Amino acid sequence: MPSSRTSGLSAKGSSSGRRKKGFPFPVLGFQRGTGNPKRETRNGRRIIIVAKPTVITGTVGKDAHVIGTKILSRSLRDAGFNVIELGILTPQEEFVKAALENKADAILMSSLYGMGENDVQGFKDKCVAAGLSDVLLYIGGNLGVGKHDFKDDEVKFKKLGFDRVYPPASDVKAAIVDLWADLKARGKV
Amino acid sequence: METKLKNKRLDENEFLKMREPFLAQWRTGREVDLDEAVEYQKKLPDSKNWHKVALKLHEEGRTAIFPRAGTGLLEDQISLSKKLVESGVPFIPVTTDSYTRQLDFEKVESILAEMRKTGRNLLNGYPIINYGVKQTRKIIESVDRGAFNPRLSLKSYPLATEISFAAGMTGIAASSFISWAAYEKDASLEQSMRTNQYVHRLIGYYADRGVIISTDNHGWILTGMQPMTVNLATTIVDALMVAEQGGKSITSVVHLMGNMAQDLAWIRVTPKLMREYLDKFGYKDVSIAGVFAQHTPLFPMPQGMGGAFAFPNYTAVVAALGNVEAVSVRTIDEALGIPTEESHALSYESTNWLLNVIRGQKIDFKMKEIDEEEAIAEIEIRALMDKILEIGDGDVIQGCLKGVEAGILDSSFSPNKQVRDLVMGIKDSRGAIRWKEFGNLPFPEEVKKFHRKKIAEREKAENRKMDYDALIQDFWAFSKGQLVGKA
Repeated sequence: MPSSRTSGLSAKGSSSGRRKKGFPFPVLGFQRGTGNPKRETRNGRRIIIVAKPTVITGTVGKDAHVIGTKILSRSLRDAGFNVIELGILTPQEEFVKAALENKADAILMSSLYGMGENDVQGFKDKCVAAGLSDVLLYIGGNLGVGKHDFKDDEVKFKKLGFDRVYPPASDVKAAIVDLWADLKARGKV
Repeated sequence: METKLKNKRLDENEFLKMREPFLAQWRTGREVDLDEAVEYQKKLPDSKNWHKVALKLHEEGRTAIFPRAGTGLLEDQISLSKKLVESGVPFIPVTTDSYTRQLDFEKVESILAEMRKTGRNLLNGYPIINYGVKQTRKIIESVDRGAFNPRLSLKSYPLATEISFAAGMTGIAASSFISWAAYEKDASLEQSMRTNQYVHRLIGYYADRGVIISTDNHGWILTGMQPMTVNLATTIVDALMVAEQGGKSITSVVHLMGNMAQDLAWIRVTPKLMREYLDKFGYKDVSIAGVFAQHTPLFPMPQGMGGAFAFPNYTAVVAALGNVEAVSVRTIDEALGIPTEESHALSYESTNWLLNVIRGQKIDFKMKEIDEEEAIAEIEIRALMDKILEIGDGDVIQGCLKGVEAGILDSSFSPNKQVRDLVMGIKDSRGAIRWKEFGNLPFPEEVKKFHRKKIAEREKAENRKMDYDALIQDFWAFSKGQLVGKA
């Protein structure tokens, strides 16, 4: 029986103000690339051109839970990201390959079955070896077996090289805002 | 080169030749002697034959429980089976372990040795292939009643069913859509259908010799939330495939989504239409032995004990009002992992209480909403079946293969790459599931209007759009003890 327990992140809350629905940032047009948003006039209209960052999503290891990574992927796409969706049962090597091929800015992993710690051992090293040391690494979901404190997961996974770690039922929109801020801090957008 | 797959009975000699490579996958394959197995099956009492047990429950107007359970060592599986039989469970599951599911028999050998040495439990199910026919018969012989049904993976399906049936098991999940739609990323539906066709033919071989093995048909298992009609249409496809290969007994499985009127409508309409399509294709001697209900797991968060009891009990109430022959309920431990024997016992004690008390009252439950839901579901299932048969030139297998490609059969949140995922479901104000996005589903305009109207009602009541955010809130509703998601 497939479980539809949600791994990783869930969307709640709503976007505010005059921002385009679902977008964490003001946007009128897109241009693939990095650097700060540029203002331009096209056909007599002022538009802001922002970067369209590329991110890789997927459920890592032998885990077949699909809902978390699907929700995350759609929410990222709605928020204007270029999303390469690897889906369930994705080995480390596939994340690295996809990040290289697509010049990704971030990798967002999901894991629900509790054995994620084992699945991501050495992943950061693989990224560094592949020249991806600058790629942001996020992970979210049920990151340990049985009852345990999320704070321990956070410490553990940060040691394993992840920039941000999210417990089950996290707000997906807040995570996207985090991602945008991290990308900005690195001068990627 | 493989020929184009069609829903056509495999020739017996061809089938017997197909068996050889499967039986050679592990040494216990040699223990299977079909003639001897048929004789063994014929000697089993009626209380161990799934088909006969289901028919008897129907006659008596009772609803039984079909649990899920499996354990690594033979002696533990015997003890578990005895406990289930003692607690009044007539349908006994034998859930297999993850290594058996991947055909890693060497690994199972070493783990079994380790388990015997250390006494630690290191397998999450019963390794039926490593134990083989002779050993597994000990489980069936350890109890005086109980119809056994193994839970397997697609990979292990051919050899494990050979061993299961030869060992005296009489029920088996048969659906080309289960693993493909819900557990796999790269698997192809065509390959899954080929494998299923082989096992259905094995069931037909037994049936030709007077041994009835019943198939519980699950259809396209949903990983997301949408009306069940694609699932229910595909349970009819499963039934047509089993019947063509000679199977004589179908157990119709209906997955519940949480709205009572809708769930009861699906319970009523499915066997009715299944019967109709079986008859239409001339499978008049194929019997629908019973209807089994089970809840699609919609429950994301670990629940408190109150909710943990409420959920299986609510499922039992719906099953009892639906007059089904059996219900699969989860245990109160579900959120934590593999349940203990005590948790099994306590959970079934509680649900059995409700099943007995409600079924005893012989309630003929009427609600105008059930009739309304039944009418809508019937139109949808017929539209799907008729379109499949049309594009398959009358062949249900070809129709499904083309239908998946075209998104005529579709589901949201499937992990499989072949699935189009152009559809989306959302709850209405009463918690019934509606189609928010229809994708390429071949539904008539009246059906679409009905769903849109129901969604519009909730939008008005809650003064917000039913969008993707609302869908995600609906996912969490039951785990929070709510009917619909809250903003």
